[in-house]
Amino acid sequence: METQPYNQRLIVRYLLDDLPEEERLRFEDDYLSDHRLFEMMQAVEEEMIEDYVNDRLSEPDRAQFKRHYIETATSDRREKVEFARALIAAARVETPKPAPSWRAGLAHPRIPILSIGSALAAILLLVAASWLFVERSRLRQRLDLAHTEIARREQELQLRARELQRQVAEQGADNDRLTRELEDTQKQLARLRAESATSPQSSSQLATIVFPPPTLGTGSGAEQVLIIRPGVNSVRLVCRFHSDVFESSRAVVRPAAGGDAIWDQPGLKLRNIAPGRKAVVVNLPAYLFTATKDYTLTLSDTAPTGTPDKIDYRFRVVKQ
Amino acid sequence: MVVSELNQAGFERLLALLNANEDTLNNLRERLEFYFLRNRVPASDADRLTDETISRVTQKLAGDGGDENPAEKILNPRGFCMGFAWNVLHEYWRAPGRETVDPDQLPPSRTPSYNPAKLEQEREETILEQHRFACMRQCLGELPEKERGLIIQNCTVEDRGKLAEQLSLTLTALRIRVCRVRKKLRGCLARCLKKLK
Repeated sequence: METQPYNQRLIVRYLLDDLPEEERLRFEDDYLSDHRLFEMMQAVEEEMIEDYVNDRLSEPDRAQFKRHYIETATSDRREKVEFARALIAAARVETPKPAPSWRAGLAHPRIPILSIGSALAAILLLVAASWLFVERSRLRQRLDLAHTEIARREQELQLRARELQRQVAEQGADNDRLTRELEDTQKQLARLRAESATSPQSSSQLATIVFPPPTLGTGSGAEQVLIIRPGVNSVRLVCRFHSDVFESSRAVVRPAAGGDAIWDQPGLKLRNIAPGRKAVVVNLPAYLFTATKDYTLTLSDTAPTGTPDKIDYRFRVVKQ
Repeated sequence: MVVSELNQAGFERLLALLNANEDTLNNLRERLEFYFLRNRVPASDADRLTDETISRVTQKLAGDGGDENPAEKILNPRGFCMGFAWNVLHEYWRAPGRETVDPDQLPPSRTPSYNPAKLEQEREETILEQHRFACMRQCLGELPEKERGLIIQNCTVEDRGKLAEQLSLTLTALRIRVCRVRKKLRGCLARCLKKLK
């Protein structure tokens, strides 16, 4: 005979002697025959006892339990209650170790996954908020520094602009002055040119020495004196000859004491200065003669025709 | 009450019947003892009544037992124990000097297990409670880790249905697993308390 399925409530009623006689006999017959049902009943009884110790029974069940398991309990029932008390007391002290499988780990009532997740989320949120606060402060600081820098640069540029304006103004004034000076100078130059164009060329502007024709075996003859007065700006050295002694000559003027030439002019030709008279004429600026001293003019032949290669002329320059 | 002797042939047949139903003699004894205890037979007598019941069953299975219909067939091989157990129980209560009392009728001071030396008993119970707690902790520590975790969770969890779900078990399967762990603990506790006496 198969035992009929029993629910927990019916078993509890049997355990608390709350079943009608007929049902009780039938249940007892069934569990005496069916060890699985018997184990189920034992489990329900033990759970009921633990619920009593943990104060989880309903009030009616609790009252009946006390009457059958505490007040009028047989020794075996009292033994079961004491066992449950000891087990629950020990279980509360002991901390269950985590089970190897993840499923058992999920079963731990004190650490639900949702709380771990919430705690982690809260921690992450706190970290993110802290980072944002720090970052915001740092950016604010950088912004302030940037504003300060911009203001400083603006001020500098304004000062610079004013300075440049001042310089431009000063230069403008200088330019005006320089322009006026230039105009004056140009006027003076024009006036001088005009005076020069209208007045004959005088010894005050040109100083001339005429060297006589050289005699055979001698140089230029007696020493000539060249007076350079203030205002003289050109010197003319005229070297006379009786015949065509040079086709082309080179004139070099240097101090008589030695030193570098102050004038070196090649390609000079003989000129007809009068009927039967020829000369080599050397024109040079008067400013080359810086002091009163003796000078030498040397004419050298670039196309010799049987006459001496060079002729030296000595002269003294007197600067006034 | 007539004390029957165990019949060997009947005993063999009983074992065969139990095996055929995937049952054992120990399981049968456990159920019978529980039945007598549930019906307020003192523990010291429950064991004796269990033996009496099994003896009478073996006598019946052997074909003799002194009843009026020796050839009576056992119509319910699985439920035959109930009848014998019921008879044994009622004979016990009908025995001279023994009366059945409804617990609701008893005054609070009178219980079937009333002990006049109540103070001494209470003192002994306090000591026993302390020993029981210490032994329980020791026995819990000796359990395999999985069983230890299971029994502790079952004792402390609010909703056993959720616990069963988390462990991918039916509630029935969870109950039976926990029940078997408790049996282990009971045995360990009894041995531990015996050492302390």
